[in-house]
Amino acid sequence: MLKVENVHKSFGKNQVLKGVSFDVEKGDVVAILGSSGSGKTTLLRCLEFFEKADDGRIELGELKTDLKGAHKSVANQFRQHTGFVFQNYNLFNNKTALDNVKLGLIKGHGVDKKKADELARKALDKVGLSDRLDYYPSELSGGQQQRIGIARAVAFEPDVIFMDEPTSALDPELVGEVLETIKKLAENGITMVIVTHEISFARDVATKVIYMDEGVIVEQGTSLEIFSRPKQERTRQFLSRFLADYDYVI
Amino acid sequence: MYIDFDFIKNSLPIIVHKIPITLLLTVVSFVIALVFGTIFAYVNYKKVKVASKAIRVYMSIIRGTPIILQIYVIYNVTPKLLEGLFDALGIGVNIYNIDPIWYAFFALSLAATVSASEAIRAGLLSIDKGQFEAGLSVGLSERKVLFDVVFPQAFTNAFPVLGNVLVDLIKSTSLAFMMSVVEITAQAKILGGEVLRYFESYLCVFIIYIFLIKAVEIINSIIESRISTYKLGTAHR
Repeated sequence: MLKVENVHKSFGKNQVLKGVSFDVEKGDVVAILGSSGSGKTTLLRCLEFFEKADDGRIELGELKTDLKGAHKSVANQFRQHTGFVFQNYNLFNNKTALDNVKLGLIKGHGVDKKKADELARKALDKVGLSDRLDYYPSELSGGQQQRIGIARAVAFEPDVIFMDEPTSALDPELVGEVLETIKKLAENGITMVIVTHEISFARDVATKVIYMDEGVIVEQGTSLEIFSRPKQERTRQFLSRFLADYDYVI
Repeated sequence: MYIDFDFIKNSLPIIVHKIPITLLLTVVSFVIALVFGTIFAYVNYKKVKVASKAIRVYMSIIRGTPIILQIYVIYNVTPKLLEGLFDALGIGVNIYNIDPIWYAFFALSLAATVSASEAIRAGLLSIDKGQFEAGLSVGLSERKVLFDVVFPQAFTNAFPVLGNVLVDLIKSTSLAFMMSVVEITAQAKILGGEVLRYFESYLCVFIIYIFLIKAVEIINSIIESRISTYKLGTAHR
C-alpha cells in the first residue's frame, strides 16, 4: 500500500540517506530502528514532504510521485492520507485539545463542524483524554500532549501514520501511557511506521522491523526474523547493545 | 510662579475637543501600519527575493531619519513634485486642495509601519517551525496554517511591542501641527500663544496625554490577558 523507493537526501556534503526502499502493507506496524544519525528521522520527514529529498519515489494507494521537486499541492494530497506524530508533540499552542484535533478535520479535510466535533471527541476518548477537552497544551503533561498528538493524527483516518520518536522527549514515567496508546492503535489494525528507540516495544508491537545505519537499510524483515535471527553482523551488534539479556538464536 | 487657573478652566474644554482628531490620526495610522507592517514582516520573514530587499531599504531610510525631516519632505517637497508632474501630464487637480490630514496619515504611518513590521517579524520568528509542520501534517494548506495557527500566535507574542508602537504613535500625532492639522498639542499652542500662557496650556496637554495613554494601557492589558490565555492557563479550574 505504501511503497518507498530509492530515497536520497544530503544536507550539504553530508549524505544522510543513500537510497532507501521499503514497502508497507495495510495493517503493518513498521518499526525503524537505528542509532542516532542513521537517517531514520530524515527518512520519515522526507516521506511527509517536510524535507525535500534529492531523489526517490513514493506511492501511497493510488497516489504516486517523485519526491524530488514535488509540488506543494502534491505534498498536500499525500498529507491528506498520512498522519504524523512528532517527537516534541507540536500541538497547536493556541488551541485547546479538542480544537487541536478539530482543526485538521474542518480546514484540512472539509468535514462539517458538527461531524468534526464528534470525530474529535471520539479520537480523544480513544486516547483516554475525554476529560481534558478544553485544556490548552501548556496545561498538560508531555504524555497527555503526545496522546493528543496521536488523536490528532488518527482522527481523519489516514492510510498510514508516521511516528517520529514519539516517546523520546518524554519523562520515563510518561513513556508507558504513550506506548500503551500506540499499542492499542496497532491492535485496531492501524498502519503505522514508527521511528523509535524503544527496542523492546518494537519487538512486542511491530510486525515488521527495519534496521538502518549510515543512511542505508542494513536489514529488514518480520519482527521475529530481525530479533531472533538477524542475518547481518551490524544488526546483531546493535540489538545486543539494547537486548543484552535477550536470548536469540543465531 | 503664578498659575492662571481660569485660563486652564477655559482652555481645557477647547483642547479636549481636539481629542477626536488625535484619536483619528492615531487609529488610521495604526491600522495602516498594522496592515503594511504585517505584509512587510511576512515578506521579510519569508525572505522573498527582491521585495524583502526593497522593504529593508525603505526601513533603513525611515529609521535613519528624524520624523521631522520626513514630515518636511512629505508635506513641503512632495506636493511641489506632484504639481510639476500633474502639470506636465495635464491633470487638472490642484494638489493644494487636499486636506492636510491625508499628509499626516501618510507621514505618521510611514514610521509606525517600520516599528509594527519589526514587532510582527519578531513575533513570527518566535513561532517554532513545528507549528507549521503540524498544520501541514493534518492536511492544511500553507495559507490556512498561516492564518489559523501561526499568525494568531505571532500577534500574541508581538502584542506588547505593538502596544508600545501605538503609544508612541499617539505622542507622535502632535507633530501633525507641522502639517497644519490642529490636534490637541496644536490647539494648546494656539491658545497659549494668544495670551502667552504656554505653561498652563501645556499643562492641559500633559493631563490629557497622561489620561489618554493610561486608558490605552489599561485596554491593552485587558486584551493581552484575553489573547494569551493559552499560554498562562485558564482560571476556570
